[in-house]
Amino acid sequence: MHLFKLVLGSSVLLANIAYAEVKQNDVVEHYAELAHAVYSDSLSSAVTLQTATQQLINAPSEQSLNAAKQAWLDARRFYQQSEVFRFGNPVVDEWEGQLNAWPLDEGLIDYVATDYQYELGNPGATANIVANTSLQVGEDTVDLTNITPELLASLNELAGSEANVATGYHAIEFLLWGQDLHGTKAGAGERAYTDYAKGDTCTNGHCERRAAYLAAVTQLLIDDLSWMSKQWQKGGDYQTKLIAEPSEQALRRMMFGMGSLSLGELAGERMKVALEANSTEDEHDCFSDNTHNSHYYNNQGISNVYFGQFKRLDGSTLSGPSLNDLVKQKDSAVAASNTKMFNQSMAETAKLVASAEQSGVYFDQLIAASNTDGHALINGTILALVEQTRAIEASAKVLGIENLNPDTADHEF
Amino acid sequence: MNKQFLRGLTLGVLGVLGLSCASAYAKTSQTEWLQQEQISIAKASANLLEQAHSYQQQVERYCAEPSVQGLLNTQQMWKQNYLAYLPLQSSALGPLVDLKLNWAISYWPDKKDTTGRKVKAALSNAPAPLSDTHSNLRVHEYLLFEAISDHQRCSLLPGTISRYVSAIEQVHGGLQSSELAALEIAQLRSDVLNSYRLQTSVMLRKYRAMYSAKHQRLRPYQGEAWRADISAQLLAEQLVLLHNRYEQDLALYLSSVDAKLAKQVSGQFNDLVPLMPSQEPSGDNASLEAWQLAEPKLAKLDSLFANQIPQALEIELGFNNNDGD
Repeated sequence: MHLFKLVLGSSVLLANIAYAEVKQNDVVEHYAELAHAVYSDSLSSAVTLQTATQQLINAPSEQSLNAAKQAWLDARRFYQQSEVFRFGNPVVDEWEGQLNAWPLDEGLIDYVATDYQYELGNPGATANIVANTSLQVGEDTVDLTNITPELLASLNELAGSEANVATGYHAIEFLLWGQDLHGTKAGAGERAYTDYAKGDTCTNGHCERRAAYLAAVTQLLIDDLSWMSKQWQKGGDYQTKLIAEPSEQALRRMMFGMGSLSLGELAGERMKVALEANSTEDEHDCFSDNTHNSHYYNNQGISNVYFGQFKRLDGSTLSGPSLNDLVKQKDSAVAASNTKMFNQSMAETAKLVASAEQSGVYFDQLIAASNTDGHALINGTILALVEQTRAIEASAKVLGIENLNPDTADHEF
Repeated sequence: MNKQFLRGLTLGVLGVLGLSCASAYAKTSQTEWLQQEQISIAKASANLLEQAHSYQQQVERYCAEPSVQGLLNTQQMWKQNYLAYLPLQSSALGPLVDLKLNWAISYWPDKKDTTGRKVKAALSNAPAPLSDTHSNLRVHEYLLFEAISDHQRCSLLPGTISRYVSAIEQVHGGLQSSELAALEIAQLRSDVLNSYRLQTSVMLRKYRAMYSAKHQRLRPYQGEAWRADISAQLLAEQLVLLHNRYEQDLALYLSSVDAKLAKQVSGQFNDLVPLMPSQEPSGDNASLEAWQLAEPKLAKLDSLFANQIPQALEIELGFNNNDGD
């Protein structure tokens, strides 16, 4: 019994020593490792998406279209978890527009309903790259004959309009689902597989060019994700730069990314705007009605960084030294409170998923002007994200990280 | 005894108990600063409420007996309401309350003209009402400045004005001195300073919506009041109002902590105010150069309020709605 107590005591002691040994540098290194894992899995799932879209192009059918859609949904799970790396790390923020810019004027890409809503004054809003081999912008003529990844990348923000988004997940989403013309009623986009059919069975015209567009835009996505994955690998350019920084600055990046996504972007831009305006134009995955998952996995990304964990594509879990460990070392009460806030916000975002996948009430239905239950559900999630943001601020305070914006910290004027 | 008095008394006692003169002065100045800010915020809020009520009465007169002059008077009252609102824009307490109320008063940004579509839909299905969010000054702008009939205007204006006045009353309730005084001092300091930072931040956002430095292009339909063609004018006036508030309320306290920085901020305002574009981005004579000149100066002013001033005053601002895109 005495021996048992001794062993137990030693184990506790060892655990405490191990626990006490978590250093800021360890947390930063694991953060980079976690980012690399998320981008690697985003890349792998995008490669699977490419295989599926190629099958759709080669043999269009209801089945191959559905398989491509499912591959897009699977890929989205991982990319959305990467957005927590965006705001604190310029290498991501300056790059991500080509992958996830939103909202877009989809008339730039393909056919749309005649009364579709687009950005006022946007000369590219109805350009329809699929249907046209040239595009007039002011005095310039753009040759669209060959649809390549490079051409599509060059058309982003055409003529200075941010709604001109020719590439990325949402462009692919539109090419697979088409416009959601149901407004705040049930139903997503209903593009038919025959939009990719060959010969006379082609619907809405230009099927070959539409297929070429889908192939090019998916290739660009893979190229971009591959580049970013390499940035974060051990010895990669950005990973090297990040771990060479003072650890306080790297922690600031981590927390700024978490807080900015949690409050300004997710609670505000992606949820509150759509809710207040009852506007499906402000719904994130508006063509596929996958917004509930998009929000859920954004939030999962925030938790991943705080707890230093990530459930990988292969089902394994990556875990390591975390912000939570650091906070716990300094103030266990704050750590316990934070854990509660993070868990609560995950539970609230899970309710959006349950609403869509179990009750059949999707995000665009929740924001309908008359849906008071839906509004309460979204507001509950928003409030939980606000509390989560407070937890991030509390973590910063405990760790002595002041001025959370890494772009402007220690700025000289 | 009210809380404010007790707070002042406590600080006074602490001073007597041995804090340095400099420290006591700084703390006293902070109390005075916050008191002055509360008075200014309450005044601005009362002014907005008064303007809103006058505006509602004007709409009632106009819709009772429509006329060209009545419309012009209503348009003028609309503009006065906008001007009365601008000092409070992005300054309501709490980020999401702030976001909600901002939209209840001025739905912006509105890249895809959701406002126009909602009003058009309501007009075509009259008497379908507009929601609370879509009963704001930008909806009124559509109704007052687009070429529609008096009948159409008045089918929606009274209802939307009523909801607009309710939103203003809600803002007024949240910005009463007594409400502000009930806050913890650390929260009050943060909220008050954040209200400056959020003002410069939203002004920069409006500026960059109308002018893209990256593409060297003006975007006339992205302004806050493009239908009335006064987006740039409102923005310039908002800057002047913030400058006045700074000089009246914050400058003295900031000087007591960092005189050099306080002077730098004043100088930044003084440099920027005359440079703000006076012509609308939609105008035939709109000068891209004018927009190019002022943008970096506005960005620098925003940086001062986002970084240097909070650091100097040792106030942590935390996250807000403008973090993110």
